[in-house]
Amino acid sequence: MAREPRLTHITALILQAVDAGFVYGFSIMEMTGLPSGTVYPALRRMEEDQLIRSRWERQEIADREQRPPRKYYQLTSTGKRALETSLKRYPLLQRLVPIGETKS
Amino acid sequence: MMTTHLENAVRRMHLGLLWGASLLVPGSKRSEWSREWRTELWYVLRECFSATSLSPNSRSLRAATAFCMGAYHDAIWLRHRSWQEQQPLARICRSASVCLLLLSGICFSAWGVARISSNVAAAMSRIEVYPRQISDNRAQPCDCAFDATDQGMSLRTARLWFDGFSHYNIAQETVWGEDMRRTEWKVAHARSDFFTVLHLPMSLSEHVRSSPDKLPRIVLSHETWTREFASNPNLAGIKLHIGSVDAIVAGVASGGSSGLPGRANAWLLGSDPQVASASPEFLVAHLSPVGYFDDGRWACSLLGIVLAFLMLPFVNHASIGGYSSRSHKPPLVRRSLFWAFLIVKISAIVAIVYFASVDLACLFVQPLSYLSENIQAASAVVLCLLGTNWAFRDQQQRCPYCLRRMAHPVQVGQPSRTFLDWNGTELVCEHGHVLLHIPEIPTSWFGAPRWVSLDRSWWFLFAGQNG
Repeated sequence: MAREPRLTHITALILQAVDAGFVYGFSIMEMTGLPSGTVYPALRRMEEDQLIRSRWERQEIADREQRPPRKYYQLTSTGKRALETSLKRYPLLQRLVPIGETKS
Repeated sequence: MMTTHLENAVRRMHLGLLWGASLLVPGSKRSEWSREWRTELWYVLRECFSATSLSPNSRSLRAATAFCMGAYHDAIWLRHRSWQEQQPLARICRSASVCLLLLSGICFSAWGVARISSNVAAAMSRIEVYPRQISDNRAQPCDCAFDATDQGMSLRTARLWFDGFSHYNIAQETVWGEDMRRTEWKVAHARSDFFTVLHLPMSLSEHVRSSPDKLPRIVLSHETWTREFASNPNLAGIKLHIGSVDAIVAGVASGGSSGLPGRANAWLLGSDPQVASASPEFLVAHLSPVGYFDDGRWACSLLGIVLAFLMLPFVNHASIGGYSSRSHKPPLVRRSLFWAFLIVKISAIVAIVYFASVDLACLFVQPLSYLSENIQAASAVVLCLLGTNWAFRDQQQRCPYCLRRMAHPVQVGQPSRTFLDWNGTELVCEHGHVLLHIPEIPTSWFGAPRWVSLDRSWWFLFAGQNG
């Protein structure tokens, strides 16, 4: 069984950012304004808690675009439920990171 | 060309920072971790160099460096996490019962050390307690750890502390036996009850045969028994010639007797030894097991503890959290348990301080000296202040429902110029009962930490954890 998730403000903000399409570490940092020392440990904790999952981009895609492959994050079903609960508690999150505003 | 060199230098410097951080990451995760951070650094540096056409400005460079410094946070977090996984005890230790168990263990250990150290004070009866060379006219104290007369102790006071006095003198004697060649020993002549009065342990004495001719008995030092008789266990009862007298080996001295002054090879026990001006004589005493506390030294610790409690309001500013609203208050039973837990912790700390101060006073300086009194009182004050401060700070971060330590601190908010926005640290109960908000800068409207109860809508996140 997974460890219990901890839903703090920061967790909720990052969940909302991932859901909005900011799907790799640097873009989440840019969107939320949080420092790298906060974002990456939070992403790891959320992945342990099975709120998000990660996968590496295929090398040929990265080669085609002449950049290193990215590690993408995606919400799990638990993460989606957690985000819904968070949005009830922190409705301003939707305004901070509006869903649909995606960044490649 | 110049820009490329600069770019390479900047990239290498930041890769170096990442490499340094990667050393903190557990080996099994290091390659994946490095890969992700190096990839992300590529984007950060791209932003850094694309922001200005010629060269990066200092601000964007600082941002890139700050990004790499964040890698250290991440690496430390992963290392910490790995330790936690290896040590499930770390999570168990958050519970209130484990906290009390640990305090009880420390208290018991401190009591044990205090018993040992005060019980034959200064381990004590290596009999070095009151030896004084009395036979030569110079009357110099022996090379011993404690000399009562130097401290102006009257015989009456000494008698309160000591429960047995005896004396012996040392003489050089020729010793031989049936299976032993002639050799020179330093023999201590002492009364027959020497070992009994001084509570000195003796081994092999149970094997000694009765001696019909009432010969005096001789007790060998452990070193002599090992060196001269190869630790022969059947030695007790054999006859030795000590100078002009014959004696029966009664046993082997062990334990504290090695600390006796004069370093005798054996003790010849018989009638009251005569004072001989030519040989050194020693007066020794055994410290009473309860001597230390009989002298009223316990009051030093109690005085220190009382002083510490009087000083506490001036040195301890830890406030235990309030509630963000009345509805967030836990039931009365829970609140009572919460405060009872604090009282029990402080009681345990007082007991630890009491015994630990006695330990410090006895172990590191000569017991029963004025210095030991001062150390005892001062250490009681310091330990009590440290202990109670810890107790309050620990209590501040305990969930008022389950008494477990709050976990996973995160910084929330930015410092506000007007102090109207809240910023501080947020902790969460691992069982999902409460959040704890600790303000970074106490203000008139948010001065002390506050608990925020998590209602049922949060519970699904902590499935199976709500206690």
